Amino acid sequence: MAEPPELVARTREGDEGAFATLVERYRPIVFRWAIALSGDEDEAEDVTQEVFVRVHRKLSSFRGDGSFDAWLYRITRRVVFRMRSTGPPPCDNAAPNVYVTDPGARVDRDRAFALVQSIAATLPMRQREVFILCDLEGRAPTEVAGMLNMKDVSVRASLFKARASIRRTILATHPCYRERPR
Amino acid sequence: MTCDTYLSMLATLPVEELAYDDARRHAANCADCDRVTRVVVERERNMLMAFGELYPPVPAGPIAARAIVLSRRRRVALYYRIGLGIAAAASILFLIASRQKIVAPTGRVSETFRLQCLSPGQAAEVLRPVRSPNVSVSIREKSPLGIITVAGSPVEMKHVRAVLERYDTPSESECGVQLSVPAVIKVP
Repeated sequence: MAEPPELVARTREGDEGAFATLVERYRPIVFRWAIALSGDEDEAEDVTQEVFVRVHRKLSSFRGDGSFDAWLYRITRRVVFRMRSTGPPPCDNAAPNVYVTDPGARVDRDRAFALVQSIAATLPMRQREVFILCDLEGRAPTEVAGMLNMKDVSVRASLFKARASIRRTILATHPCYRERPR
Repeated sequence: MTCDTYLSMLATLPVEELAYDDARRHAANCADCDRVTRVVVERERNMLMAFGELYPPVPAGPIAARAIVLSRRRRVALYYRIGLGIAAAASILFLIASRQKIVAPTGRVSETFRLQCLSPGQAAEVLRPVRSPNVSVSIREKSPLGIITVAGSPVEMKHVRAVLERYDTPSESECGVQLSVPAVIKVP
């Protein structure tokens, strides 16, 4: 499969097939970012569509000296914030406790949404972004710093805080840890 | 390493970093910390799996096709907006310019003259030859001040001023003497 720079170049030349390939490749990633940022599945679908409309319109302004992922993430972020500021407030669904798991159970779609909603409910926006990009997507803090226009050290600090918060929630629900003498 | 130290490390570090040196030795010897670590590892793995299972329900093809259509429509809409903006600005400028042209010819000037020699009635007589239908002269016959107010276009007022300067100047005319007013006065 062609790499993003090649797909971007071909899309700029008017190749709609290349754009479809670009969408195919980045659609799940954008959708996950959108869910993590908005915490709402319906909103994430709208965000995904809007992001690709903007990508098609503004592809000529992508200089190519930075990472395509970072450029795409910034667009996603802007779309989410814009939709949140102009649209109705998201539904405040009480997320089930997804940190309690049944070993061996299949992670289904509802459970996955509930998980991301609970992350959104647990963490402030900045920590949420860093946690998703570093720990769930496996990106290096340096790369995330570039994507979020932050200093490397700030990314690491946010990541520590996010992990501490998530693990506190995990451990707080675990009986052996709760009952353990400290 | 104590349990508290181990747990504080577990709170912030990636779990794979706990598999070395002191931390690993402590977890191997402490059943509680080992259990807690297993719980964290297992749940974070589930979290990763759950996140990886998130897929948008709409396939890529329709998303891409709709994105291309919407993108083109927005581009056209942008050109329309720019065109409408230019047209609106041009209309406003045209209106302003044409309004100035309409206002200019209808501008009338009114001026009050303090007479030095002539009475208001005499001044009105003197001005009669230069008076067009647009020029109006108002006088107060009983006023002791000798004032006359004339209104007309700027060009007409220039003639009025010239006539009054000529006939209402003590050096040029004899105050109190009956003037013989010519039928037509040539204005320079």
